[in-house]
Amino acid sequence: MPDWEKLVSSRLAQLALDEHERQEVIVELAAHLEEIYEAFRQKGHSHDDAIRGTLLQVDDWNKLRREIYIARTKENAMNARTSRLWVPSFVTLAASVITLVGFAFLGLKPGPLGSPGQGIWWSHLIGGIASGPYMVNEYTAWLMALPLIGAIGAGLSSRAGGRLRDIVISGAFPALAWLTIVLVVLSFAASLGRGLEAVTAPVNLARLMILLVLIPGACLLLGVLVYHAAARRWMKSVA
Amino acid sequence: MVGSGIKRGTAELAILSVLETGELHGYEIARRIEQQTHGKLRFTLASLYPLLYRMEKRGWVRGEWQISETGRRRRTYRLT
Repeated sequence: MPDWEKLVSSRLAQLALDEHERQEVIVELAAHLEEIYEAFRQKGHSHDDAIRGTLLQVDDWNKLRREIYIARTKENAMNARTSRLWVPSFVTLAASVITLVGFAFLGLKPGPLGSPGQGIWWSHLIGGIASGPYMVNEYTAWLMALPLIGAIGAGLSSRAGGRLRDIVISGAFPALAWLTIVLVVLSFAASLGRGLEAVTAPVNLARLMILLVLIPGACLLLGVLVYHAAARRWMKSVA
Repeated sequence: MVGSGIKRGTAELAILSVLETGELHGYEIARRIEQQTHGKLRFTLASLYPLLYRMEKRGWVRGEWQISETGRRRRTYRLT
């Protein structure tokens, strides 16, 4: 007889309920799977066929976990969205800002953000990685911290039952926030009648997008990807 | 299997109707509904329990742990 409680426990390992309630759900679902399995066996199916047929009862354990979490925690849709999306997003945003400010206070040499007027901004980035004349600057160090921040945001969203979309947005939220800020500032400047050129001339717009949105966004998404892959591998290993 | 074509209200009504006969655990609820609808309405585990938990949260049904004749723990549901 398969150990259905062990299987359900592993598949619902990330069900974010208190331990007693989580155990109740596991026992209940395992009992249901056991009944299904025994029904298959009584109909004359082999052990392997019965297991296969039983496992078809759930095609997406992550989706089931999310739905059980929402149904059991008495949360309405708004609160669920807050815990799955907004809280993790603002945690990653706060962490990215605090990290950048922290590195600046550590006295690292100013990078592209500190000297936007210099035409050799790219050397600050590359130099920081290749230990060139600029060593590790605040910007490079910040980029290296972003994958961890993205992974933390993804983990918080996932634990709260977030879907893949929520997990990705939560992890990459700082880049989205920077994009919004840049667009808002440009729009505001344009509305004042000064024209975009007055704002973008000292700071190349394309460089701004690359340095504040694209590269940090890629680093954050790298963290999300690593977290997602590690979580899936862990789920398979305990299954 | 309960799919997107089956409105949630229909599934809830089906559960409430089988519970009129007495308290049942999840597997029995799914089996009775399948029998009574001649296979037109089938619940998988994934579709049944989130629905049961929501109905319990709303106070439409109440779940209680019991020991079956075979000594197994089963959570049975009944109408409130």
